[in-house]
Amino acid sequence: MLTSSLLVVGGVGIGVALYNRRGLLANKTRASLSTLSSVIDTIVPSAVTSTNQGRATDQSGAIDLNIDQAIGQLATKKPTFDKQLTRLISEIDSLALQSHHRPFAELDIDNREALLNTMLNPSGQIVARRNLRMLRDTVLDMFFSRHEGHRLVGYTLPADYSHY
Amino acid sequence: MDFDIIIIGAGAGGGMAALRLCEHGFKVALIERGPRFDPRKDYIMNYADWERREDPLDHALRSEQTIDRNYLTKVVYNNKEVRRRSLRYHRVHGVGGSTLHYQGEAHRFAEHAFQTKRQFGWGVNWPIGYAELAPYYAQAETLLGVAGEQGNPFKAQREAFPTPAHGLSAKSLIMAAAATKAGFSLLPNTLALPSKSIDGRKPCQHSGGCNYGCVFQAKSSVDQAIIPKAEKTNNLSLLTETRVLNLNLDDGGEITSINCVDSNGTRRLTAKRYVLAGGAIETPRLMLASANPAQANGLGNNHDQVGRYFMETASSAASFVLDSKVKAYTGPPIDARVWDFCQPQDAQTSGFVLGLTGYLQPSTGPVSNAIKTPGIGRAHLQRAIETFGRTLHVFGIAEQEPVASNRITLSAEKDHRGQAKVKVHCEYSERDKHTLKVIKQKLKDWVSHAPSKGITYASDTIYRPSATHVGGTCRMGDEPMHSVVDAYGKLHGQNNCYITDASVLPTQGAGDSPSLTIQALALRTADRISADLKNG
Repeated sequence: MLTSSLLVVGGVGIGVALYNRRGLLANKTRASLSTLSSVIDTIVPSAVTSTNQGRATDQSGAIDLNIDQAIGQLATKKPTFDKQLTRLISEIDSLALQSHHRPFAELDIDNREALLNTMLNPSGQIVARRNLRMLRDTVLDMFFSRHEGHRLVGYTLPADYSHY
Repeated sequence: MDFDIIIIGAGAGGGMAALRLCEHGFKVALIERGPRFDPRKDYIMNYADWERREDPLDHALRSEQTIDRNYLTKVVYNNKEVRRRSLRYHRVHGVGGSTLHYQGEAHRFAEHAFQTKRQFGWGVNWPIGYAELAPYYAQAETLLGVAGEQGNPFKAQREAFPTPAHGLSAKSLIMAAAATKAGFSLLPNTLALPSKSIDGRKPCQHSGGCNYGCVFQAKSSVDQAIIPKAEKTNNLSLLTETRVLNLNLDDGGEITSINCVDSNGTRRLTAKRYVLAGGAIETPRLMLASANPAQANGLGNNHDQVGRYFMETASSAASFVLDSKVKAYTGPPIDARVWDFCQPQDAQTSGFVLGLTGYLQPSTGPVSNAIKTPGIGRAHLQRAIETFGRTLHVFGIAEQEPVASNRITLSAEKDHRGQAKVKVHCEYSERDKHTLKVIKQKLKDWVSHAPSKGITYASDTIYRPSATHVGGTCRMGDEPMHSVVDAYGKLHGQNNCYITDASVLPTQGAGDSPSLTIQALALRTADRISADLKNG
């Protein structure tokens, strides 16, 4: 379910959200927005991503649920969050260019996961780790508080029981 | 008179007394401080994002205005004298009271629990025994559709339960095997979670969501199982979101009326009889705060007994992650119990029970589990899938020794309505502390036999008190010098006031959950009120 416009980056269909209309992210380039979407897609990969990587699944990912748009909307409401996000995107792309000579969005999922997990490592840079942790937790919160997230871990909300 | 009877508090005891009195033809006003919840709209388990929602049943806990949190009891903890944390008084403001969030445990206290002094030399004997309460236990169980299995060797023999026991959940089957290896037995619990439909309500759906209010309306909380029956009599006036401010007394110390407040302002209500059912903290608070020259120390407190013998929930707990692939959160939250130790094992130890639960909390739900699981990406998600719903909590609850110096007293601090708050003073006896040590060791042994990498978190209530079950502040007894109410819940020396809540419990039933006993006593007290009124 992709409702926003599409960029095809690294073989991955990624929705470019509406968050580039307002807030600090408005000044960011299309590439930066692609990086953000790619990070979100790495945190909870979409079915398309997973299939492209050889793991067929019908499970929705964060992008399928428009969580990228929700993150964008959050950024427009919370300047501090937007600032942290902007800095994080820049750091992620710098690291990707340093280690792979390509922007983050053009890396395959294995390399994207490896890069983000390195950033999360306690030996990594503190501010980058904190900002990534913030984005990760926000995305996970948005994903796992929906039915699709519940389904992924095999949880059935009482309200979804057949005798509800 | 506005009513025949005014009951203050629509929880376990107040609701049950209201039903019985309405059925006897009396006009009853049931006053509840909280709202009447709509289970399909108000409870968080109706919503996918329940983990981040504010639980309306926690309103009283979050906005507690009764306890003076500046008053803290001293305790020696880790060889240092410190102040205990403030009491976390886990109750619910709402029609149904704490039965709205309870897990449906419906225990008859063991026979020996009514006579700890006679049998073990400490505590106090009840003025009634198990045999006198058994018929009322049966009546309450029928109203609630309690599910259970006969043959518990640690309890009195009894008739069949209204509905059959729930089969043990996957988690409990695993832990039953571990219990056997540890030398004790995990038995099916007795639960006010009907396993078959009663009153046209759905039977328990095993969702494990009891704590947040049953969205299926299957749990026999008072709002579901009792109030609708009382309403059918057309004798019930249910006054919600109404707080009783004080009891007005005459020169003889009898209650003449009550003052209460709701969104329309304050008003005075009168009745022939008054029943206090606000729980073991609010009931003594109201009594102590309602004084006049005839009752200078507060209602029914001429012998300085109101508020004394306070008992909290003395317990120890441990958490761990099961290696087995089970959904530990499904099934009735506490579908099994260990009663092997409910009878004191020696002179230093009180009776206690063990149990386990795996119900999801905001700290273990899908969001929290994913966030706590380290990493990013597919491997992270795979680990989150593997670990979700496998956290179990084992716990033990002890019979806290009733001690006169553990008490509720009025504080100089006032709440937002200008009502006096209470100071809660509670210290553990040597027996309490020893029992918690024994419990801790039993839990360790138990978990060591379970398929798990061991305990990840352990706690007890020595420093951080728990108050899911509290009682004893207006205890029943034959002697006015040592108790507040008689064996029927009637205030000593008073003619028109009764109590039907946990405050009348002289002891705590060796760690069993008190709600069914409160309800059985409430039915018995209601019969007494009925007889009193009929006899003029």
